[in-house]
Amino acid sequence: MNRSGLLRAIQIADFALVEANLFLDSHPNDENALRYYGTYKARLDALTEDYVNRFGPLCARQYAGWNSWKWVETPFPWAPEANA
Amino acid sequence: MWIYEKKLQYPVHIRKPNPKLAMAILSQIGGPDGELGASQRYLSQRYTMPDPAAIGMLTDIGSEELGHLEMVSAIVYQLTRNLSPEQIKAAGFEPYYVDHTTGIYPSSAAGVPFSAKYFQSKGDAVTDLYEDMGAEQKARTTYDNLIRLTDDPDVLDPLRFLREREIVHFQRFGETLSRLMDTLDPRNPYACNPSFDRQ
Repeated sequence: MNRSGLLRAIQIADFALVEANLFLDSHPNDENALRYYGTYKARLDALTEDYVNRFGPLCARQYAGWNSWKWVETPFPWAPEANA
Repeated sequence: MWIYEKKLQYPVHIRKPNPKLAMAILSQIGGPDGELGASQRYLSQRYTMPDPAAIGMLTDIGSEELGHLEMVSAIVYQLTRNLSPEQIKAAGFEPYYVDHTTGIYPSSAAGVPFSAKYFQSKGDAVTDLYEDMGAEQKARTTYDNLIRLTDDPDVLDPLRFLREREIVHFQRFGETLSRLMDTLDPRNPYACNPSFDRQ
């Protein structure tokens, strides 16, 4: 996947987790929801690792040993080109 | 402690500037029922909640609202890029422009700066959760109103997403309230303030 496709997949997987998270806050023992959360968490982690290694950090604490501070060298997310 | 992630919760990609529409959408940043007020309401109320489920819900929804604040700011930012003085005048954008240029400043569509008067943190779990349910409905109605004002699909797409989130948050707060009410005396649920009185 290219950068924008990978970012989109991350946004989708992360949103599934936001939904599961809020549901679990008031249903902490729901096994289906816990399983759903686990599935999408694994997917998000794999996508994020791929993204960070290829395109740079999504969080300031993600670091892959680059020789320049990619955090300020990659677009911030309100830029139109970051959403293309 | 907060972690910031360099992505919008949902993409915002607007091709056509529209400063007049941006002024209206500004209310979802700094207006009475906007995302800034929502985030501060929930993040303030969470400290004295007696039920950890409620603390979790307020922390998580409050944090999500900061992400929504970012999305609405991205919408206003993209709607006001590369404006000429002619475009500014034609849109009647001068009052905001003169004080803020195209900077993002939390105020309402009518130009009233954001205020903590827009929310309450009453320190009573039942009261606070009812406030939160009301807040989500007010935010939904505000998005309903904005959606009527445009037919630009680039703008409608994120607005519709944000509107849907308000409906889901309303549902979640309702469930949180229901869980809380189950812990209170059904014959006299207002006998004490579960956030304050010693049980």
